[in-house]
This record gives sequence, C-alpha cells and structure tokens, in this order.
Amino acid sequence: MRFQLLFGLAACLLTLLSSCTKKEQSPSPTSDEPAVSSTAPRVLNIYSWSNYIAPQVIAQFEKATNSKVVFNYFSSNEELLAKLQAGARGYDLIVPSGYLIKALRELDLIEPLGSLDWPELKNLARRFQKPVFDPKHEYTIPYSWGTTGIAVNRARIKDKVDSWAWVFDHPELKGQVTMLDDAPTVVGAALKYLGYSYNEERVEALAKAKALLIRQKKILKAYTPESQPVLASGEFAIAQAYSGDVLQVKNRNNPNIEYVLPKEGGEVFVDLLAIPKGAPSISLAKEFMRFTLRQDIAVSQVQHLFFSPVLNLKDAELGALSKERSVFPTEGQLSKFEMITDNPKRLEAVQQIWTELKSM
Amino acid sequence: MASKKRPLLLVYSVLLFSLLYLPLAILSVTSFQGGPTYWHWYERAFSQPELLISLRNSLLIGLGTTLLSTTLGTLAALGLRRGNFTGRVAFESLLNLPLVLPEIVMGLSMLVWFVFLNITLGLFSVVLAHTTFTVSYVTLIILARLKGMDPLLEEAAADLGANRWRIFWKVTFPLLLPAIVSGALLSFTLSFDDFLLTFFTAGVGSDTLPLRIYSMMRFGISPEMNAISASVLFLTLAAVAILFRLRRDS
Amino acid sequence: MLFGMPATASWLQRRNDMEKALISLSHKKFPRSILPSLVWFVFFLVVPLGIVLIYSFLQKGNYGRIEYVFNLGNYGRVFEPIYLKIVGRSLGLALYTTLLCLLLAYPLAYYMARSSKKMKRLLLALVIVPFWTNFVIRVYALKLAIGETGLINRILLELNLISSALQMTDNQIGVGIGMVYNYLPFMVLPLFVSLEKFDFTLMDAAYDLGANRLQVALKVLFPLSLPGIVTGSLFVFVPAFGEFVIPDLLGGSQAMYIGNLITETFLKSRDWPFGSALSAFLVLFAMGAFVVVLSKSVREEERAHGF
Repeated sequence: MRFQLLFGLAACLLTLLSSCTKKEQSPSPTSDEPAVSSTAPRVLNIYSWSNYIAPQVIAQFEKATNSKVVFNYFSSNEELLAKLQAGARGYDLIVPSGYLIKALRELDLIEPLGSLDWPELKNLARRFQKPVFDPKHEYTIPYSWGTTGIAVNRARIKDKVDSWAWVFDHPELKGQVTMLDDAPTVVGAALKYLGYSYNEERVEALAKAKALLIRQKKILKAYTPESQPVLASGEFAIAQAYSGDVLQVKNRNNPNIEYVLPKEGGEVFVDLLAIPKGAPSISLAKEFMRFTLRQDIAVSQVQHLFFSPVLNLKDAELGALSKERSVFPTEGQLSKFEMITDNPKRLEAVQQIWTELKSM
Repeated sequence: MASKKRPLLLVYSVLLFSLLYLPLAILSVTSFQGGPTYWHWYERAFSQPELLISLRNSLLIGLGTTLLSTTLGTLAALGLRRGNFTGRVAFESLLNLPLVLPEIVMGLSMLVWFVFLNITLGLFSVVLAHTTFTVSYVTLIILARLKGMDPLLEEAAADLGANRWRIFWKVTFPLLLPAIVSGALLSFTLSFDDFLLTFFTAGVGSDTLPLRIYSMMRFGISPEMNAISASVLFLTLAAVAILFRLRRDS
Repeated sequence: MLFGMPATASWLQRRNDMEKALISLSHKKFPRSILPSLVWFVFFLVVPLGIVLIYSFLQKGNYGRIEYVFNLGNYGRVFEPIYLKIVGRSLGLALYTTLLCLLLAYPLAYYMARSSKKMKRLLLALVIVPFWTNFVIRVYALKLAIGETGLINRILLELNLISSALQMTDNQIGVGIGMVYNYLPFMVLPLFVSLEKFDFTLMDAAYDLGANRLQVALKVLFPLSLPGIVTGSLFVFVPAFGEFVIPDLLGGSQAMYIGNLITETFLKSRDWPFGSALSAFLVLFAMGAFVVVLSKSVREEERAHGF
C-alpha cells in the first residue's frame, strides 16, 4: 500500500510541476500580437544582471504598456553566451556587455532591430550615438556604462592616488592589494601601466605584462570574483574595481572608499540591450528599449542604481550626483580609457597567460 | 545497546556541531542588524515577490528531484545487491559518473540535448537534470547499507512463507529506512543548493534561489539575502524541533 | 537461536541449499529493479556524455563557434605540463579534504550511530540542516567568522591573545577550512548509515575476550564499517577534486584547479572542444579507476560469500 502511496505522490508532484511550467508559459503569446484586442497583459522576459533595472522603471513600463515583466538572471556574460549558444530560448531581452556583441552577431544569436524611427535616440550622449561595436544601432541600444579603475581605502591610505603604480609597485602594501578575477581586465591594467594599449596584441608587450603580473602576485591579497564584498568589508588598501560598484558600496556600506581613474587609462565598458534570436515578444522588447531612452527614466535609473547613464542628462535633474566623478568623469579623465575589442587570438593569448599565472 | 555515557565523544560532537553552526549563528545575528527594526531586512526580503518565487521554485524542484531519485535509487541499490550479473561493473561505474563530471559539462551537454529533443525548458527540465546526478548519491548510500546486511533475515521470512512484497515491506524496507531517509535528505540538499547545472537547464521564469543569489553576488551579499537564508534555517530548525517532540513517545 | 527456531542440522542444511539456489538463480541474472535507473542514465547521462565526446574531437572556431572538423589535437593538449600541474593540485586538495573529513567525521558518526533512536533522527537532521542555506551565503558567513575583521579575530584581539589579526582567508588556510566545512556532511552521512547497522555487541564480545580499545577499533569496527568509509570517501574525494568555488572565494582565487580550468575553457576561452576533451579525459580516467576497483570488490564479495 505504501508503494502505491509513493507513486501516487510522485505522479501528483509531476503533474503539479508540469502544470506550473505551463502556467509560466501560457501568458506569453506565440506570435507578436498588437495590444489592441487582447485584454491579457503581454509578457516580457528579461535576462539580465540582478538589480540592474530600477523597480519604479519596471512598474512604469508595465503600466504604460499593459504588460508583465518577468526577470531571469545570469551572473556573468560568458554564462549568457554559453546558454544562448547551446540553444536556450524564451528570453525577449538580454543585457550583454559591449564586447560580447561581436560573438553574438557571429553566432547569429541576436535579432536585427530594423530601422528605428525613434526621436529618443537623440537623447544619447555623443559618445554613444555611433558606438564602435554597433554604429547604426542595428542590433543594440546602449544601456549603461562605466569604467574600471582603482578603489582606495581611505582608512588605510592617506596619500594621493592617481596611477596603476599603486596596484603594481608599492611593496609596502603587501597583502592589501586586490585585482578583479578576470583575465583581460587584469592583463589590460598591466598593459596600460606599461604604456601600451588596452587591446595590445604584440607578443613582447604581453610578455612584459605577464612578468609584471607575476611580480605582483607577491604583494597580491586576492583576485576578487566580485569586488563589492571586499570593498564593503574594508579589508584592503587598494583594489581594482568597477566605478558603479565603488559608488554603491560607498553609499551603502563603507563611506571610506574612493574611486580613482588612473592617469594611464583603463577600460570603459558599455552594457547594452539586445533581443535574442527567436524571441517571443520582439515588439514589446523594442518598446522597452525605447522606454529606457527617455530622459526621466534614465534619471530615475541613475538615482536608484548609481551607474553611469548613456543619455545626456541635465545637471539640474541629477542634483549632487552630477558632481560624482566616478559616475560622470570628465572628458580629460576619459581620454586614455579604451573599450575592449573581441579579438579571439589575442584573448586566447591573454587567457593562456592567466592560466600560467594561476598555476605557479 | 548499552546506555553508557560517552563523555569524550559527547564533548567532541557538541564542539563539532558548534563549529558547524558558528557561521550560521553569525549570519542570523547579522540578519537582524543594521536596519531601523530587527525585522527590517526580513520585511524587505519577503516583500520582494521574485525572491519568494525563486524560493518556491527551489522547493518544488527539490521535492520532485527527491521523490524521483529516491525511488530510482532504492530500486537500483536493491538490484545491485544481488551479486554479480553481466554488466554489473559497467552499471556501477555509470552510477559513479555524475560525481566526477564537472557541472558545467553536464549542464551544457544536457541543455544541448534538451534543445535537440525540443523539451521546453522550465522547472521540469531542472528536475530531470537534478535527478540525474542525485540518483547516484542515493543509490550509493543505500548500497553502503545493503552491502553488510544479513540476507538471513529475509530468507527466514521467506522460510516462514512470506511472498516477495511482504518480505520487502516488512523486513527489508524498515531496515533500510535510515539509509533511504539519509539518501532523500542528501538528494534534497544537493538539489536545493545547486547552481551551475540549474543555470543551464532552467527555463524562463524558473529561476531558483541559488540562481537569484549568485546573480545578486555582484552587488555583494545584501542583508535581504542574509534574511532569506536565515529564514530557511529557522524554518527547518523549527520543523526538526517539532518532529522531534512529536516522536517523543514513539 | 534465530527467530525462535532451533538451529538444527536439518535447518542449516536447508538454509545452505536455499542460499545456493538463490545464488545460482541470481548469478548472471539481470535484476529488473535496476532497469528504471539504467534507462534514466542512458537517456539523460550517456547521451549528453556522447555529445561531449563528439565535441572533444571537433575544433574550436572563432568567437566560440564549433567547427565540425575532426581533430585529435585537443587530447594532445591535455597532457601539457601546465595542465598536469593543475590536475596534481586538484588531487592534492581532494586527498587532504577526504582525509581530514574522515578523521573528523568518524567520531561524530560513531556517536550518532550509538545514540537512541530519537536522538539519531535529531542529529541526522542537525547535520544536514546547515546545508539548506545557500552555499555562497554559507561561505560568506564562514568569512564573517574567520575573516580578517571576523568574529574569531575580533575575540582573540579583544582578549589580547594576538597582536594582529590572523590571516585565515585568501590563503590555503581558508581553503582548507572551507573545504572541510563544506564536505563534512558528505562523509558523516555514509559513515553514519554504515555504522548504524553495526552490531555493537560484537565489540562487547571482543572486549570480553580481552582485546583492548585499539585492537577492537582496528580489527572489529574499522573493517566492518569499511563500506561506509569507502562511500564517504567517494562522496568527498570525487566532488572535491572538481571543486573550484571554495578555492576562489576563500583562497583569494590565486590558484587554478581543474574545475576552474574546465569552466574557464568553456566560458572564457569559449573553447568547447578543448573543454570537452579535458572533461572526457577526466571521465575516462575516473571510469577506468572505478572499473578496476569495482571488479576487484565484486570478486572479493563473491569470495566472501563462498560462491
């Protein structure tokens, strides 16, 4: 009798599960229907980082378009690419970083946007009107941007910090220096410090960068997969970090940290909105993209999430935040910052350096 | 069993348990700090419907996986017990395979296979993936119990005229119960806490708690996450305490 | 006496006959009860592994593409010294974790096995419950305990037992603590399950016969709890070998293990073929080891049961 009970339970659970899956998917339309006749809300499946879109913005969008936004999360760009490459479908909007776009296009994983007649496109800051990886907005709309620089723990360091030298050449900081746990980012910082381009290909240059990094290991505390925990705990003196992270931690946990843009330059990165191939709700996704290009929406995002907006926003709207250099660096500061390019051969060499670095 | 106290072992066990729970105690304490009220982070955590949905998903997947893998695993262990047969070593090696396989490999290859089979990704696809690797654990743990079990008891029951079903339910099953329960607990734990395999096999709207948490990692461990984890801890401890009291008389 | 039946000669004779009959029946006879899991494995494990195997013979294209060109180069690369070094490091970590977990878990499992029925259930639950909090959160909570500004350091500094904080994270110490912390229940559970059915009166009998504690432990307890030890070691060693998150979070991510290597090969190098080759190699190596060990144990089992 117990056997039947067990099987019965199993059967029930399986039907429950399958009905759950059906429920998740029944609202999504099989074809792109205009909102005119349907009373049921349309569904937009967004695949992004956690905490990357302000809740008020979502609420406003849902109300304006009679839709429901469902969130799905990834925790790295590479995971996103691998999952799409393996064939996962169902997402309407993805938020990849700029350098991924080339791969996404080559592997035919994203939808072309067609001609966009949006006046809101004029709101984009000049730098993002014709971005180098997608000048005609054929596939993407810029969403946010930031820089990779240095976080200084003012509780431990009182001097002026303005260079990558603080990360590489200050032996007295042994055990208090952290770098990000990503090959191109770390190698890039070394290259910049040595005076090369962030996207340097030449073998001799890469060899010099590798030697520098090997030397650095002696004073390194850790490579941090995520920088926020270390920034918040204050268990460091100097850390390589993303601009948005530093500002968030500064406001939330640890006011003693400061973000510095090194004078040798560094990386500027852009996050984008794109539509994966075969998305169920392409038109709704486009509506969302257009929504983010509104001035008021962008202001809301910056105030809530502290990342740098891609739009030209008036200082008056932003208030004190406009003075925050980590969010709004000057043109002069940014002159030596570069965006990373997806050069497969170079990245392979960089990854090889990384493997060797971590194997000694 | 002799009821002599084993003071050294008792002290050792208490010490070990304390060390095991120390980080969790710290976690619980931190979950109450830093807000205007003690319950601040709990209120915030539970007012986020997404976090609750992902918790529900994890529970459903965990339960489904546990039921499937415990059933399959018990049957497999019983089969493996009966000495040698053709392909026994092959099957037992196959059983050990999921333990070796890196999750990313299993995740990506299963995803490719699911896409090929046109299986819609969702909670169900995650259950399929989780069951595949938890069955091994369940089978092996029950097998460890079976390997030393005296077949005399069952044969004696057979002698007394019991048929196979009765032998199983009245003799084998009660003796196996601790192992089956251990296997089930292990299976649920592995499923509830899994990340990478789940990431690749989850569908739209099927994010589990670990998926949500890993994604939030970028922004550091938020106090809400602490609150959710502490809640899970408190709830399970409460359930254990209740069950403990209920069984007091049995 | 067994179930109140006198152990008469005729009864023993019947028992031996029955055993032989059962054995001859079951020997080489395929047990139907393994069919569900066999089918499951073939469908959900063997096929995906087949896919991996196919990938391992292909070539990596640009941007992570997979070119359908037959290529043995991936397997050649697997044997490069740098990768062997990484494998060696993972092996070392797995061995350490297994040994330490075994040492720490055994007394606990023994204590649990000898408790009352009620306590057994309670202790079992208490061992598992911590592992229903999320893994990452648990690791960060561990950091809150052993970190530079963590609880333990703060207490020791307050009591003036140390002059500066002990560095227990972002180094091998942190990894060591973290690994054991995470894998302990995987050793406790199988040990407990194995010890729980142990007839402890055998130990009393041994004491009666004049053996001391050490002899009893080594000659009675240890051999008969071997299945549990083997299973526990398997549950710890094999996953620990592929572990990389704990070394990353608690070891400062400064060393590469086979788990990082494979994950980064798939995700960052976008080299699915090479990643597949590495994994295939791992799997083949492990399978080989299992086949050898299991064949030996099956033969020993047959010998022990007098087949």
